[in-house]
Amino acid sequence: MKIHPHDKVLESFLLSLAERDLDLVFHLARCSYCRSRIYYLPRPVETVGEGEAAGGYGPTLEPTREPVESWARAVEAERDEAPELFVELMGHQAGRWDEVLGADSRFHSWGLFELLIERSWETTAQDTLHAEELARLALRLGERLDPARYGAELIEDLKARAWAHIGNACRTRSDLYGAEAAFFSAVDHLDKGTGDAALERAILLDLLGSLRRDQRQFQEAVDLLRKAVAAFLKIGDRHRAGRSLINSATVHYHAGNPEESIPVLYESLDLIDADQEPRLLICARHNLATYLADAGRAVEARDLYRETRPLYRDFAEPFIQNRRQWLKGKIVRGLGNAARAESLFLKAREGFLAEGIPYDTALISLELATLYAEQGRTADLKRLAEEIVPVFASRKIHREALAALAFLKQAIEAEAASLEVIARVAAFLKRAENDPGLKFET
Amino acid sequence: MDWPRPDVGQLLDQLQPVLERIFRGYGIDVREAATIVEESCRTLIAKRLPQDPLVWLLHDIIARCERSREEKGFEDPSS
Repeated sequence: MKIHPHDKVLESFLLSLAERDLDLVFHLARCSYCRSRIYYLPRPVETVGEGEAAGGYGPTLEPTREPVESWARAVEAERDEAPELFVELMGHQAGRWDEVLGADSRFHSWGLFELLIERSWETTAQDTLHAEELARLALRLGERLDPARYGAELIEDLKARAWAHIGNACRTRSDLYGAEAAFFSAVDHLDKGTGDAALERAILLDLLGSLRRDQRQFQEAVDLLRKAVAAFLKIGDRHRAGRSLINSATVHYHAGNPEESIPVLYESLDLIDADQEPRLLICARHNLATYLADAGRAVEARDLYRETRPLYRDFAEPFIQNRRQWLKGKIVRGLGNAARAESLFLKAREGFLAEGIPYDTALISLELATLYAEQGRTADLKRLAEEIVPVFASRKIHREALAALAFLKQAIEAEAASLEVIARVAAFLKRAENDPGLKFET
Repeated sequence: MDWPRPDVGQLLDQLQPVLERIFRGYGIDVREAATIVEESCRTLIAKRLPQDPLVWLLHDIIARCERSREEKGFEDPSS
């Protein structure tokens, strides 16, 4: 049928359907995936002669097979060679990379192009400048790739991904203007690309969501991340969808609504592939247990913590182990064991001091302060207050946070620090961590 | 991470019986059909997609057919 059926034809067709079939029709109307499936369903019961099955298209499609298969073999070979080429290239001084790339065509490969972009992503957490350097190198390599061999539009799609990673590296080191400009370039390359770069678009949505979060445009961040989750799920990338959900939970936390993060993090746990990124899984579980404990759901937090114990053992570094002690302290406190909570908080606090992390030290000190205030331990509160300000005055902690801590110290010294005052300072510090412009008002 | 490496030849074998129905349905001529299949296969190889490659390839071929029909200006007698 090459024409649109008349309303009356459609109407009589719909009226002829049983309710179940009608539901199916409306589902098909909304779901492009299922619409695509009707082209191969029902499956043929038996295979007819080859020529007949392919009809007039069979002989024409046959010559396509060889070049496509041979190209697939070539690209896979390039992917196999890429790690060695990468090591060879990195063996040269950064200032010589372009010269080496230009002089040796072995480097002009899709495999190396992809690998540089992938390494750029992996490096962002440790070294944002190097991550950007790798992505920019990938872009320059992209300029040297033969568009006739690889496809100009496919190259554009991957350049878009490289720009997205540059944007993320800029954002991570708080260069929000640089990030915005890089994401703009990413969109520009996507427009010149294949037009159906679903993965690149989803990655861009996710990273833009992080940028909006850092710009404190929380609603826009949540909207972008919701779209990213849907886009990743549509292409079957459950792990990345889970990552976007964790990102979304962080937005709720930064917006001062940690309880809204809880259902989002639960959802993410079903999607994350632990084999692919175990650190992401422990991050989701730890944050979830922390928010549960903070929300007074200590039993739920404890059960989740118990399930996570084997994973914690795989991460021996102080960054995770100190936070683990802190979480344990929150849980046992919620379960009514204040003495054990105190010893765990003190242990975590020592760890944070040794690590040189003033902000977390301040937050856990306030957690201890509420514990002492609850128990009426004025002397311990005063001792804690004596310790707090000098420690932070010498560290990298912003002025307003210091002012809040100084206010608390004065209140404690005057024996006027109620639980409410301590909680107010703690809440301020939590918010100020991600919003250095926030003002503390007494 | 090790990404699956789709065997394009095998995928084309599996899709062969349905391709004719798709191309006929969208009014795609044989020459354009060959271009669509080649471009879809190249994209599949170049991008490491986590989805089932057979479903992705089928979906992509249909999306290209839809775009082609839109570009040609699908005749709408009711308008």
